[in-house]
Amino acid sequence: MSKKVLIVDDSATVRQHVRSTLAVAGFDVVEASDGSEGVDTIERVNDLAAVICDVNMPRMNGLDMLEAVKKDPKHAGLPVVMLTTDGQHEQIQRAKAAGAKGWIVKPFKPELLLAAIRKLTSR
Amino acid sequence: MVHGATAMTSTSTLGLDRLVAENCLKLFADYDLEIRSGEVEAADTDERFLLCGIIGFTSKFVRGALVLATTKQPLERTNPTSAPSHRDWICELANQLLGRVKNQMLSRGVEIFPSTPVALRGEHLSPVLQQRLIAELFTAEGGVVCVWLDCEFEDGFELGEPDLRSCSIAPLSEGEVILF
Repeated sequence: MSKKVLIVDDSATVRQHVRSTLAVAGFDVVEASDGSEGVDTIERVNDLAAVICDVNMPRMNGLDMLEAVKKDPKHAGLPVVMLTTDGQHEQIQRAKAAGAKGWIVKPFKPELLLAAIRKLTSR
Repeated sequence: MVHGATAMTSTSTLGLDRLVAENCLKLFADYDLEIRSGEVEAADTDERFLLCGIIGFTSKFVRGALVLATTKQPLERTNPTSAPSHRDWICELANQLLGRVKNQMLSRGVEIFPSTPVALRGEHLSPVLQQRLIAELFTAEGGVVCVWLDCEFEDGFELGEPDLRSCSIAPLSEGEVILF
């Protein structure tokens, strides 16, 4: 059975690029366009193997989404990796403290994104 | 196609023009498109429309907006997907360009806070100067890329050199992945 990964990004192009990168490796991809939709999708889709999430988004940003999701103990084991233009260490530390499992600076290299998701979903 | 944009000297733009130009070259290179600084000749493009992404930013000492404008060819050639949305992609490129500028300003001790981008389409776009205008023009195969950074500085603002001694403030590079 294919593992399911959620991509949360307000750019449809980024979501499609992630989708096509992961699909060739057999992952099923679910999409959300902002943090609020991301929270709803995580609640609705029970068998997510990982989440890839942008940081700067309208309505609810990625770090707020991460903190909201991780408040629920049932999502403690769900790997979330941030995908963003931001390379700032303070932001990275905030994400790590909130329970993120990784940080990728855009533009992503498909082989590195795939390797990261394979590693996170094999744990 | 572009009117009224005048590049300013690096002393008056505090080195931001160099940051913007270098990062624009790298951004498009990361999407496998070589662009070159310089004058635009009529033969460089046969496109009439200009699509641009605009993203604002604020901080304590500097605020403004970055405008990234391209003709159709550079936009389509850099898009990594098979079903392109021009609007979406120009906004994402503007977002990524400002992100690069932001990361480098951070290593110089200045933090800016970007907003979310919007897109505009036009034929004769020109910036209306606020305080400082940085304008960079590039040509690509079959097209043109323009970047404007319209910004306002607080009196006494300086953009220092990168602090290479302290790794703790050096941001991650584009494409870099770390797992915790």
